[in-house]
Amino acid sequence: MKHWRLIVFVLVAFAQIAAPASLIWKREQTLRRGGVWKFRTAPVDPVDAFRGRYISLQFEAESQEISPPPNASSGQTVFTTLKPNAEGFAEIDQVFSSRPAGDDFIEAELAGKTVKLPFDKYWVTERDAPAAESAYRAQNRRDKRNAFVTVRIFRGDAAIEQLYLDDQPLGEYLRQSATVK
Amino acid sequence: MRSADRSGIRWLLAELPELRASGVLTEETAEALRRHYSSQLSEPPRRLGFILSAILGSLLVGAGIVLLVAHNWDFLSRPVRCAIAFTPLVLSQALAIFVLLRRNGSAAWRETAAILNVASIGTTIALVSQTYQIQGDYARFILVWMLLALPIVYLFRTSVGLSAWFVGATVWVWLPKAGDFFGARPNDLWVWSLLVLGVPAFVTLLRRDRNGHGTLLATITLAIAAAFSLGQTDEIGAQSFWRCSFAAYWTVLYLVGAAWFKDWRPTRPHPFVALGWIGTLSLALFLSFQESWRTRQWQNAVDLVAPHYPDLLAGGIQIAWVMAALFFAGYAFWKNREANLAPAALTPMAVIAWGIAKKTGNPLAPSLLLNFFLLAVGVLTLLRGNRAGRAVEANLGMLVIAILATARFFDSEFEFVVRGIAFIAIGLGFLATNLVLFKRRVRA
Repeated sequence: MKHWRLIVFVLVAFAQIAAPASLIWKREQTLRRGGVWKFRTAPVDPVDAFRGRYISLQFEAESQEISPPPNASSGQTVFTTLKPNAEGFAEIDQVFSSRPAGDDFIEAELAGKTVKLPFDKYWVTERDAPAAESAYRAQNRRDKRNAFVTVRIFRGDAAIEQLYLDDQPLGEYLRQSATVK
Repeated sequence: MRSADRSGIRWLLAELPELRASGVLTEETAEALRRHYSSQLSEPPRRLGFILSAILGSLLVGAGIVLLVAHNWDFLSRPVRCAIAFTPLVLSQALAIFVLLRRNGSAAWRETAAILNVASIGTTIALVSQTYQIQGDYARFILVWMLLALPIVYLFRTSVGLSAWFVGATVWVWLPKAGDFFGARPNDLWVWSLLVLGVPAFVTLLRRDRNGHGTLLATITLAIAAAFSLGQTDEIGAQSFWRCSFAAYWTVLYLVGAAWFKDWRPTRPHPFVALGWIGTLSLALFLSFQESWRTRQWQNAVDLVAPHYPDLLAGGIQIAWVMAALFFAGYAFWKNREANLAPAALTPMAVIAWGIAKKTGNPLAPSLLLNFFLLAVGVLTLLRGNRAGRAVEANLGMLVIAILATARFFDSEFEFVVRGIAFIAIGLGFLATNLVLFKRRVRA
């Protein structure tokens, strides 16, 4: 066995490719087959040394008081189903401790009498992150707070599709506000 | 044989003509010495510079790739971005295969291929996460990255890769984690399994190149990782016991340097000797203040009485460190009498002091015990240094005593009378020591 290192390395190399590839596979499934939900949000702009710049998101649905499943403790993984409110934004419907039937549910973390959603970052370019934050702040001052993300949801997995400011996708909104200036 | 100290050999070769001229060495002996050591000098050096620049270059390239990727090219479509994400990984894998087939004998090639591969794993996962807006906590990202990199450490026998493993474990233990298994906080205990996974590679490295620079780097990163892990473990286990577990930590560090690596270099002690001294003295000095033993935890009934399984495990790890330090100290005392083992007494002292404080809740006796320890270490080191004529060691002993005296002077805990008596005692001890040594020197 002269080449045992090579054989082991080829297996390892396969695992190294398989790990990110499996992320892609799962996400593609959700993006293709999942239903779309809109979550109203408030963006701020931090940095992640390895993964670049992102907009940190806080959701209205996360401050919504829910009735936790019996015997569930804070920090535990739960499954929530969603329902649209009068304005068409997602609200938390029911919270279960095991997977419910159907495709439209997400895995989340129980935080007392609220639920912490499994997404809170929107990755953007270095240039766009501060612009997006200041655009949102400006909107907020004029008292017409209108930011939301569209999320595709499929059997527990939740894939953020797009961040909207003032009913426009982030990129378009920033381009337009740049030309208006 | 000790690892060759090249500057020492050069010095010896330069001395030879004079030794021969003054008749200390015969012509033949001098010639034999010259031949023996010249051959060592002309051996190819370990090409440290080459290895270092190869490592540095590949680290810079890796960091550059990470930064480029972090910029996030949103004008590219998802498939294109994915293709870019996988490019560095596949290229580094190709290089790794080439090195395994053609350059397996070269440490520089192996280290370089390993670092590039490890960096590209993280880059690929990070870029895919960005592209697909994949969330997930930072601790899990680091963990997946580490586990995919671990086989590389073994396949490429890389000391820098092993050090990176220990650094990764240090980062991981400090990151907030999800609450599965043990629960959010106690999940930190898994770090010990991560460290254990690196141990076989570490042992191999020690066997292959015991006194090399790569081994030193791995030893230092392992020590740092152990310190951070122990700190987190103390939080989970018996919290007041950190005094003993960290005393054990510094004892182990000191003994590794003083007893285990006693052949590190002909003229210099291992860096861990200095680190061990600094840690031992700092901790002992801190614990010599009564304030450090005044805590509400003594009254806390759950301290050490573990309510859950992870707490019990953490307590066990704390005690294991103390046992390891005591065992190590005993072994060093039995095998290696010539090293200064006085600082190793910190562990039993801290354990006794902790026991007293736990039982009585009175901070006076434990702090006095640690004062006694510092005084004893100072005096013993001073005596050893003077006996062997080692000025550095004698001065270190005096420094310990001086630090102790300074600490007590600023200690408002003791009354003036107690302080006065203590100072007179220290002063008299000092004078007596020097008098005895001076007399002996004069006689000799």
